[in-house]
This record gives sequence, structure tokens and C-alpha cells, in this order.
Amino acid sequence: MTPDRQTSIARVLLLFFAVMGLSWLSSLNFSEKISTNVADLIPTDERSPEISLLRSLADERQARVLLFALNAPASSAPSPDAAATLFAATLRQSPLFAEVALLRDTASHDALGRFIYERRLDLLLPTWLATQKKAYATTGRPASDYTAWLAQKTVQSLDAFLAQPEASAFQALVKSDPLLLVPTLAQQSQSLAPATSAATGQALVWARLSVSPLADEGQDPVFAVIDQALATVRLAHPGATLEWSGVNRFAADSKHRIRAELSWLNTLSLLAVLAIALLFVRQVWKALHLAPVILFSLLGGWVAVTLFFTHVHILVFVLGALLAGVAIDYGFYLYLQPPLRPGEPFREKLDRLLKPLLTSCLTTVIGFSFLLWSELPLIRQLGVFVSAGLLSALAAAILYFAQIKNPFLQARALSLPKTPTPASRRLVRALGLLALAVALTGPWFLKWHDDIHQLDVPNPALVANDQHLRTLFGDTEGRSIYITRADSLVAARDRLAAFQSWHDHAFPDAPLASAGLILPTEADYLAQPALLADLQDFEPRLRAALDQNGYTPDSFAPFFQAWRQHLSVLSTLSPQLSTSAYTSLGADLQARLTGPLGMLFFTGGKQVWFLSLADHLPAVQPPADLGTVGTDQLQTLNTLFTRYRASALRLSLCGLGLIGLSVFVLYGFRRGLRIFMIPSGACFFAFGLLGLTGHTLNLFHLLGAFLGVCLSHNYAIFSAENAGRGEPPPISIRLSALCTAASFGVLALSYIPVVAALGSTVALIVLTALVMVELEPLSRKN
Amino acid sequence: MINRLLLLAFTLTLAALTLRAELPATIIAPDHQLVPGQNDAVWQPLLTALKAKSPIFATFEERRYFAFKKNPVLLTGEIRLDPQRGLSLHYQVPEERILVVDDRGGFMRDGKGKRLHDLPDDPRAQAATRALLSVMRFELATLAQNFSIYAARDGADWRFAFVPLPGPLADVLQPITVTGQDELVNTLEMKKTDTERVFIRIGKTQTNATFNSTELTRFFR
Repeated sequence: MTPDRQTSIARVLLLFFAVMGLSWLSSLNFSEKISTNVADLIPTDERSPEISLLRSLADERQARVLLFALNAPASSAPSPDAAATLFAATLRQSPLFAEVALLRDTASHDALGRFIYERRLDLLLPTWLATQKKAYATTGRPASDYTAWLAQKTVQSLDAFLAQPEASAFQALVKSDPLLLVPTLAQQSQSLAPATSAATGQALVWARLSVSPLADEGQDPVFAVIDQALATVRLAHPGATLEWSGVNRFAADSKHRIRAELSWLNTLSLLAVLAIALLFVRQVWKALHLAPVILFSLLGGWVAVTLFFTHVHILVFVLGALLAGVAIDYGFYLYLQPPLRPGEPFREKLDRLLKPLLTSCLTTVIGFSFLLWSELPLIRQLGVFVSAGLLSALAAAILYFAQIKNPFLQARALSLPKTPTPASRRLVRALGLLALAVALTGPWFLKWHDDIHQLDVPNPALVANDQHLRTLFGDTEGRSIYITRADSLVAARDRLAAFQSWHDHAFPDAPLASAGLILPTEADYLAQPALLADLQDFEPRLRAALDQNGYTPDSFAPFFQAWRQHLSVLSTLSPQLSTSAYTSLGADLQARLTGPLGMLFFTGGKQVWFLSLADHLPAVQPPADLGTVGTDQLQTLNTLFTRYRASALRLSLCGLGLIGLSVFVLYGFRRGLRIFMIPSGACFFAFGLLGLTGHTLNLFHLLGAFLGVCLSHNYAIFSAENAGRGEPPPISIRLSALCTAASFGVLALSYIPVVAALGSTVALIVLTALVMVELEPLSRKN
Repeated sequence: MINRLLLLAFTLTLAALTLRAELPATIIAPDHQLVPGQNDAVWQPLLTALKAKSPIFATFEERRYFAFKKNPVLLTGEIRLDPQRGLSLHYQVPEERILVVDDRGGFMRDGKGKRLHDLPDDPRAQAATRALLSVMRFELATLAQNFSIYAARDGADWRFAFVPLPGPLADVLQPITVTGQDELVNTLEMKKTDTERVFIRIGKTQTNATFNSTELTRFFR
């Protein structure tokens, strides 16, 4: 092939790949494609049921809640409530808000209270009857005594209740509810009532978005509506101020911060690489020929990852930006190698360099391909991004330098003495022994801890604001929140009943409060007619028991009337009491749970959800078969990430094993061992150093180590090639390693802890490998 | 002779009752209305004395009258009033409970000190709870925002009645009546209807009481 034809083909191919890649990328809707949601870092088919449940909850309803505290100046006459009413009314006009409620407005609580009171025998009597029947069974008394026992027990319970200080509040109810169905429920459910701590001059507003807070439409448009509502309020109440919190604030802030990080990290990385180029390269402008290699590498990574995955997390692009540091290796190696003779055609130069280039590229790609088997989407995406990016970089380097005239960049020597002396040998060996000691002892001191918080850019001000708002809304520490979910109302209520039994046993001093407990289980609901058939003479028995114990039975006329009516209705309906009637009762209850109460029992994503609260610290998690989990989810997610780390470690070791094996096959045992010693030694030394300096490592240190090993593996291969010819390590290694260390070292400055972890680990391993490659020849005898 | 003695005894009793009757049975009348800042000057010395400046400890008996019960339910316990920390009612019989009311609201603890629940953030419940604290502190200006105030006195004896202004509070509470002698409160009655009321009789009262740290932790927020 003539050089001109070779140039033309290379240019056409480069142009073709550029047009295809850019066309694909321009066809994408990036706001849909790129996710900033931390939940997207967790697999959609995560096998832990609790994670899948929490993930759904985050998507469903909980994440859509916004909390507002409106402050009116002390001088503003009416009250902050008036300002809050206006604020809420303005928000309600926007279709972005599904619900807006003033927390002090008791209308929804009153409506729910009225509903429960009016339907108390439908809702609460079935559970009461079943409980009493169970309690009587434990006495071992004959069935004929049941009614008398129950009447007596009812009066005893009434006596005990009236002796409680809080009984006064229920005295009006007791006449129509001597079974204490409603007061007992009210006492059990006290944890569910908002106990807000808003200061004077403050009014609280609760709202639920109709759109996802993680989507763009749930962020800036919502912020605009809120700003507009506040402006409206200020017209009537000058000086009014607003504090508010919601998932969308965190999501938007995180997105902006990550974008800003992406921008300044890339700029700094570029400057660092340029500075190194200035130091090593005589004609810096000629180094611009390396830029297309990096750009094609990134293009290849972007195209592949967006082609393979429906949603790609933004962290992949942050971490993927580091690909520049790796991709430049092939460019350096090709570009900095001097021609063997003047006018050596590129084809000849490529032929002699192709083996180390292919070996280093393909073995690294094989290693990263193992990440495709990871459970964590982020790691899978990173595996595809880096693998595709490296292949693109190699292809681009070959094609790009094939179409320029003189593909050689002269570098400054700046090298160590080429001939070892006894002193240099002693020094290098001493350093080697020291490094060996660090590599062998340090890893034993390593501490590992994964924390999902480290995936995000922390914003202490937003976190503090959120905690402040939650405190105002009555969120207290020392309380446990549980979520029960099932595919149907019947199944969800059964799970809640099973969970309540477990909870009562595990935490006998902290009764469970749940809106789900207002509803009987379907079994208890359907068992009513049979249970009431045993209580035909309950009214006279109860009247007698009340009279004997100092009550005036006629005062309870409203109850007896309701009791007779309920029996009558049941006797006519009993054959038709069915699941549909039960479901209808549940729907009636759910319709009354509006505003914040709607978070306690709702249907979403074809699932029925119950939220339960208990006044105790999160401790033991309920067994998995109860379909209920505690919401101390961060701990659970941390555990999950620890599991992912173990999985990533297995995959990395497999990948490294394969890389090592391929090196031994290609280079034989002795040279293979030397090549393999450099990356693995650098890795052990880096971990040893981190262990001895007391660092706590996480999943991303591990990923960084994998990346670092793959990079240093390249240097080992390239230097082995030269060593085979009795030459010192090529200058390209030094330049490449320093560029990589600089760009990854910049990452160590990132505000995102996992990015910093990854950057520092890679930089440390690469520098260690470079030192090993450079010093190793000095340790040999002449 | 016996008849004459009985007649004398009856007459003396009647005379005693007549003397006591100088403090009227009901004071809820325009003549007795007290408007802070307008006609309370004569009451200021007593009000100043009544405003607790130091912690108070007392025992109490509470009788609860229910419309559906022939006899009242009796509860007894201790009351602690701290000017800064608020009011604490420690029920001991028949069941141990602690009700704490302070500027931030109210909550209930069980006998072991475990917090059972906060009083709900219902404006009516909050107003009633805060009223109790204001009554015990004799903060008439605060009370006047939600109540009409009536007062009468006879020498050292005095009586205040706080009638809720029309509104949500009036639906759940009728007059709160407080009686006392000099700077000590003797009784407190919270009435809902004629047949539903709570009557509290304060027993031995210790002013300038000191509460140690254990008591402060257990009986206040």
C-alpha cells in the first residue's frame, strides 16, 4: 500500500468513526439518558428485597414530599398562618403539586377522625372480636361463659382506662364506645400524629409533587413556582421568609456540583498534562497531535456506554474523564518512539510496536471486561466505558499517526543514569527492601468501610437545612419507621399483622403505630358474623356488668343502639361479606388519608404500602418473610456496597489473573514474571502505604487499584520490550505515567469522596510502578 | 331541750354558711369581670404574690366526674411548678403517669420515665394545655387572649374563673375555676359540662421548693 493511499484510508476511517459517533451522541436526549439519582447506582433487580422495596419507595411517594416553614416577621399583623394559607393556595394552582396542606389545618385529621368514629364497628370491631376470642381461649373456660366473661372484661378495661389521666379527652366518646375501640386506636396511633415544634411566627406547609423530584421538570420548574408563591406572599406580608427542603433540592444541587466538578477537574487535569508535556517535549505544539487520540477515546467510551445502557449514571463520565490519562499511553508510545532509520515508513514502525501495544491494550480490555459481570450498574458501565475507550484510543492512535507526515515527537532525555554503580545498586536495593516491607505489612492494617454518602458531593448547608426542617415537622430521633408492602391490600394487611406480632414480641414496651391497623385483616373481617353469633346476649350482660361496677348503663344508649344496628346490618349482609366489600372498606379509609396522612397508607406502582412507626431506636431488622423493612436504609445500603466491594474484588482478581496468564503465555515465565511483578508490587505497596497511614478504604479504592494495575501493566510490557533489546525503558513510559499520575492526582482533590479515593489510588500505583520501572535497571549488575 | 340544742346548732351552721357565702358561688357576671390593664389594679398585689417566682411542690387529689359513672374517679399525686420549666403533674394512684406542660407544648411519661407521647399539635388541645400552664402561673395577659376573666375575693380568700371566648376552645372547655387563699392555690376545676368535670384539690404546698437534677430530668422536659 502506498503511503498516500494509507493516509487516505486512515483519514476516511477516522472521519467515518467521528461522524458516526457524533451523530449517535447528537441523537440522544441527555437529560433522560444521564442519571444523577443515587438510587440508579443500585441494580433495578437487586436481589435484596429490602433494597428493592426502599428503591421503589424512593421512586414512588416519599421522595416527592417538600417541607416548607414560612416565617412572618413579628410585626406582621395577622399571623404566619395567613401567609402560609396564601402560599399554599398559590402552590396548589400549579399542576406540579399534587397536594399542599397546612400542617396546622386539622381538617384532614378531623375528617379522618369522624370517618373512623362513624365506621368504628366496621373497621375496629372485627379485630377487637378476634383478639377477645383469642384471649378467652387461653383461659380454658367453657364456651357458654364467653359472653359474661367478655362483658366483665369490657368493664374492667373501662375502669382501667378512666383511671388514666388522658381519659378525660375521650369521655364524650366513651358513651358510644365502651369497648374503647376508638380511644385504644387513638392511643396506639399517637406516634403518627404530627408533634411539630415550629416556633412562634412560623407556619408549616407540607406538599407532594406530581412529578419526580429527580427529573428536570421536578427541579427548576418547581423552584420557579416556589419563588413565585413566595413573591405573592410578600406582596401581602412584606418580610416573609421561607425555609424549605426536598429531595429535588438535593438532586439539583448534586447535579450542579458534579457538573462543576467535571468542568474544573478536566481543566486542571488538562493543565497538569500540559505542564508535564512542556517539561518533556521540545516542540510542545506537536503534542497537540495527541489530542485526537484522547478525543476519539472519549468518543468511543461515550458511544459504547450510551449504546449499551438505557440510563448511565453521571459518575461514569466523571470517572471516565480519567480515560484520557490511560488513552494517551498508546499515543505516547507510538509518537515518542524514534524511527530506526531516517525515513522509516509508519507501517514498519507500527509492525515492531504492535505486539506490546496490542498486548497492553487487549489485556487491559480483558481485565476491564470482567467488570461487566459486576452487580453494580456503575461498575458495569465503567467497564464498558473504559474497554471501549481503550480500543478506540488504540485504533485512533494507529489511524491518526498513519495519516501524518512525520509521526515522531522528540522528548527531552531527563533520564536517570543509564549505568548502575555499586552505590546506586545499594540505594535501589535498600529502597526495594523498604517497599517490600511496606507491601507485606501495610495491607494487614487496612480498614474497609463503604458509605453511600461518599458517592455524592456533600453539601453540609443543605443537610443542616433538611434536618432543621424535619425537626420542625416533628421528626425525632429514637424512632423507627417500617415499611410493609405487598401486591394487594389483603396481602399487605396480612403482612402487617404478621409484622405487628413480631414487633410486639421484639419490642414489648414500644407498641407499633400504623394507619394499616385501622383496617382489620380480611380474615377477621369475614369472621365477624360467626364471632357475633356467640354474643347474642352481650347487651344485657354488659348492662348488668356496668351497673354492678358503678356505671349508669343507660348513659351508653348510643353504643347499644349502634351495636344492634350493626348486628342487624351484618345479618342481612353476611352472605355477601366478601373480599370486594373488604377492599371497598380499605378504599374508603385510604380516601380519607390525605396530606401527610397519605404517606401512611397508599397504593403506588401496583403495590399497597403501609408505613408503621414505633418509639424505639432502630435495632433488629424484621425477618425477610414479613415483607417489612426498617427505613434506616443508609446502613442497609452501606452493607450492600460492602457486598458489591467483595463482588468487585472477586472480579478484579479474576481479571488480573487472566492478565497475568496472558502475559506468561506471550512472554514466557521469566519475562512474564518481571512484567507481572511491577503492577502487582506497585498495588501491594500502595495498599501497604494506605494501611500504614491509617486510611479507611472503600469500593472505589479497589476500583482505582484495578485501574492502576492495568496502567502499570502497560509500562511493564513497554519497558520489558526495551529491556529485551538491552535498552533503557522508553521515554514514553515516563511521560505517560507522569501524565496519568497528574490527571488522577487532580482527581484526588475532588469533593466527591469516591472520586478522590479512585484518583489517589491510581496516582499512587502509577507513580510506584514508574519508580519501579526506572530504578529496576539500576539494581542490576553490569 | 334537745330540740333547742338542735335548733341552736342549725342556726350556728346557717350563720357559718352565710358568712362563707360572701364569696359568691358563681362569679361569672359582668360585675366580676377583670380586664388586664383596665380594672386589675386592685388585684395587682395578689397577682404579684400569686405569680410563681420560685418552684412549688404540692400534693393533689383529682376527682374526675363522668356523665356515665355514678361516682368520681379519684387520682392522687404530686404537682411541681417551676417558673422556667413549666408544670409537671405526677399521678401516682391508681396508675403512675407524668404529664409535663411547658412553653413548647406537653407530653406524657409513664412511671418508668419513658416518654409515651407528645400532646397533639391540635390548636384546641394546645390552647387548653397552655391555658393550664398560664393559669398556674397567673399570666392574666396571656389568658385574656383566649378567655374572659372573672374574679372575686373575700379577705384572704379569692376565686378566679376563666371562660373560653367563643371559638374552638369553647367547644372542648367550659370555665376553669381556681380558688385559693393568700398566695396559695386551693382548688382548680375544669368543667366541660355539668356532669363532666375535673376537680383538683391542692394539698400541702411547699413554696421555694428545690428540685434536684434527677427530679428535673424525670419531671420536666
